[in-house]
Amino acid sequence: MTRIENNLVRMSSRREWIRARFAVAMVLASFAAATVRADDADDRYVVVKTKKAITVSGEEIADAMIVITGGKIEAVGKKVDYPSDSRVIDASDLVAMPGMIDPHTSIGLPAVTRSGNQSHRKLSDSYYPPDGDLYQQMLEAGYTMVALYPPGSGMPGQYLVQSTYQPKDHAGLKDAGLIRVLFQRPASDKRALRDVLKAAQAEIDKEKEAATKPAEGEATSGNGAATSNPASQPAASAPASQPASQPSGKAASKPAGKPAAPTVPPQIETFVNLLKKKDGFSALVELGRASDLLHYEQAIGEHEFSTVFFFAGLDQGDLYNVIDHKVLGEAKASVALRPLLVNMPMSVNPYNPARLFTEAGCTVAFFPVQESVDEHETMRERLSLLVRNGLDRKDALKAVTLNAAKLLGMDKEYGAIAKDKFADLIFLDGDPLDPASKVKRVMIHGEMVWDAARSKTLKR
Amino acid sequence: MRYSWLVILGLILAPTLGLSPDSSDQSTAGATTIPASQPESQPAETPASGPTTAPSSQPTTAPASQPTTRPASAPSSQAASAPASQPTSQPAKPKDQYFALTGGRVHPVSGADLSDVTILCKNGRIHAIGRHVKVPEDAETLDASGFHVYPGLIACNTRGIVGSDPVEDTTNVYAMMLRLANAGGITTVITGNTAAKACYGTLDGISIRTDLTVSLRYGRPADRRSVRESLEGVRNYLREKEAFERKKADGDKDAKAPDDSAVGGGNSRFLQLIKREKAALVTADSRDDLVALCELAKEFGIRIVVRGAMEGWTIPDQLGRAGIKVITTPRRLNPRDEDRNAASGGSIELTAILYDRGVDVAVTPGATNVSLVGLAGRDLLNIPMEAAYAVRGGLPESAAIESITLAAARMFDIDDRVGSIEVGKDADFIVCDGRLLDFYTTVQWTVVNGRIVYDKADETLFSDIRPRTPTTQPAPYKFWPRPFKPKPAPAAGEGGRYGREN
Repeated sequence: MTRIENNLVRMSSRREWIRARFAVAMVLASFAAATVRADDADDRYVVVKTKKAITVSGEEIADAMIVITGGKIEAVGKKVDYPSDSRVIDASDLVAMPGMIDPHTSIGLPAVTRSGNQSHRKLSDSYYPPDGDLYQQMLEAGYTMVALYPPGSGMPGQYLVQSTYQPKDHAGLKDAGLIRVLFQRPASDKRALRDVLKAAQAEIDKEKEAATKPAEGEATSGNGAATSNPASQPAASAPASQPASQPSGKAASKPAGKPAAPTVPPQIETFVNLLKKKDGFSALVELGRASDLLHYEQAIGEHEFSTVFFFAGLDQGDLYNVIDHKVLGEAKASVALRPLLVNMPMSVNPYNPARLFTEAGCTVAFFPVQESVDEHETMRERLSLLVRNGLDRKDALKAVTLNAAKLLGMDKEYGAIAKDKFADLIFLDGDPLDPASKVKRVMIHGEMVWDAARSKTLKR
Repeated sequence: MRYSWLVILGLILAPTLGLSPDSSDQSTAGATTIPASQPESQPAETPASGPTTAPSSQPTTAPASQPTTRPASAPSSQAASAPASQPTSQPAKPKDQYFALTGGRVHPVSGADLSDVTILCKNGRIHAIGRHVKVPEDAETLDASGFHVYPGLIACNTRGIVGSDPVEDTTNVYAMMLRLANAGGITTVITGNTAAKACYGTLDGISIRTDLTVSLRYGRPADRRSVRESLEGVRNYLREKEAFERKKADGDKDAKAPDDSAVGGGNSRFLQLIKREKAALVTADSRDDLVALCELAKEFGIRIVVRGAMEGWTIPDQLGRAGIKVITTPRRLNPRDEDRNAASGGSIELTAILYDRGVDVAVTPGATNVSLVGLAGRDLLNIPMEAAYAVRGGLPESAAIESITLAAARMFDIDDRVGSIEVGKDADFIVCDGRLLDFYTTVQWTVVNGRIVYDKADETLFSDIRPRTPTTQPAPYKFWPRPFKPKPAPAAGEGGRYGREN
């Protein structure tokens, strides 16, 4: 209890400090604004004329125009109306596509690892943007967004989704809800997952029980609204604020006598949210080999929650065994793979897992083969190899953009050139699946942030 | 052997007379002659006769396939809902999985060979064996005509095929080792002190039993002393306890309960030995050790399983009288000790001699895993070759087959589950293209828990060995290994795409 109070005190003092800093910044900004406001063109529409727009969510449109306002895409098409005072960017020699998204990397993170169940810990709490031009390199490779995973074993924490352009050391684009679960050593991981799910289910049951109990007492007074409330709420608020509504002193003291003290351990609470299917919560499960999936299935039992499967051990080659499996192909699950052809075990027969998963109806995304920027640069080349081996071109492009955003639960705002999505675009001088083509321009939220022609800092 | 005709008759008639275990307890009326193993045909006939013979109609209307899990209230409604298809009539219960193996020459090991019979398995157990077994429509079937069917082999000492204890949490079910074990005909492995199924691709029913035996060391004098002391302590405790209870029953209030520290903690395993709940597993080869074990077995009345027993052929009568069971490795032969004026060293006849004197004998290869290198048959991929070597030493072929199946199961007290093809046991078979102990024989299908886990035609590993096609036809695949050919995507509602291709 005291610890929580301490935390509260600390937080409130911190908030005050931030507020103070904010005030100072506002004062400074007001001086600056007076001069900047005059030529600030933020409110104007931005129109980008392209050679081709690969929308990913829809068709590829030749000679397309993309209309952007407020950082978001307003319209895309061959002929689109736009206000006459719009700022027109001529990229009519370039192919536009959504910025690529890496759903799984630890690039630039310090080698501090966590183990055991630390699923409540956010990576953003200990995140500082790396020195150097790592993110700039990723940006130039065509990546506009990366999901950083907390390194470690077991359940080391929650992902941090970060923009590659001017990453901030706080929340980033999304820092909560994506729980990393490693499941590569079933002997221990199975037990850990079983235990935490059991504990979370127990908390949910307890809560349900507590929610129905006061309802039974209040049923006589006809106050049915309390049934849907969690137990802690009436217990905390009822005696103080609404003493009149309670039928008698006995009934009032009963919830007050045991204020339920919902001290759910935070690492259990994340799983409670997961099991309650709270919006934005999802388990990103990293499996080593095909067999781990069967163990995972045993571990979760009857529980159901939003899950993304990461197959890290593609070199095992045994993945083809489980592609049609109940929780993958049949459930049309979300999976993330490395963009590789793999050999059947003990053989020289390659197969294309991405294609098989796609044909099975799964949502497939790719993450780089290694934790290095080189792999970000090689990604389009690897995609072309997969496409040559039977993966549909559209699926390949989707896998690095829209599907990756979908895995992170951000496909409403990112991952495609479509209305109401953020204008995170890359412009290439050729087809994205042609390894010879290069990223020439990058746009983040409607702002051209990098141009190969003008950039002198990083000639590659 | 004298009564083998009875066994044949019994096995053939068993399904016809309703002797399968599920039905035997249900057909208390005894008057029914309707085959209990024909669940599909039965309900269609009953509606007319059902209501008239109300109490005794339960066994007849209740198909043999589902009486054990039937709710108590169900029989009354059974007649009314009888025409409905039987397996789907119970919504709450998961659908029964049937598997039928038809044709072929079946070697059940526990009895005489059968031909042209159908083995019907339900939910991983053998449900009925007979010539007129009705196979449910939704059953997966395997036609073994022209092949030999044996119970799955038991590997008595393995490492790395399934995971360590607990196997259901540690096994890599898509491991190549597991595939190779199935290809070698192994369906049951003993690893550490656990018996597990070698079932590729599934975790269901992988564990048979844990904590099988009590492992003892009885070689060095200090080991022998401590074992004997522990056993004596347990024996004295049991005697004192018996005396105490007798006194108490006589009304003696001063009687003192014996100190139970002799059976507490680590000594509890010795209590299990004395009570004969478990057997002691001892590794011993020399004649001296074996003699000492015989004395131990006789003195304390414990069950002993000896691994090795290389010089056992010198004292087979003693081993037989002491009731010691032996797991041999026929090809492990040490030279005789020239300094001793007595028979010593290994003998090719070891297994045959022991079997001849009534010793229960199992055979296991010297290796604990599959290596794919070295001399053929030295590892688990070819257990039958080890048994064939015992045949070379004079063991009857039937005993040799038993030594790698049922006898091996008896060593670890799992013979109620595996080791032979009998009604009620696990549905573990191998289907071979020849006699099991023949050098040229390969396993064509392996069935574990009523599920095909290995099909040589689907497997690239042994495709250099000619597939099962008539020799007049060219081999279907020219190259090794054969290319991986995923089936085209199925229409909606059809089965998986990477199932068996034939």
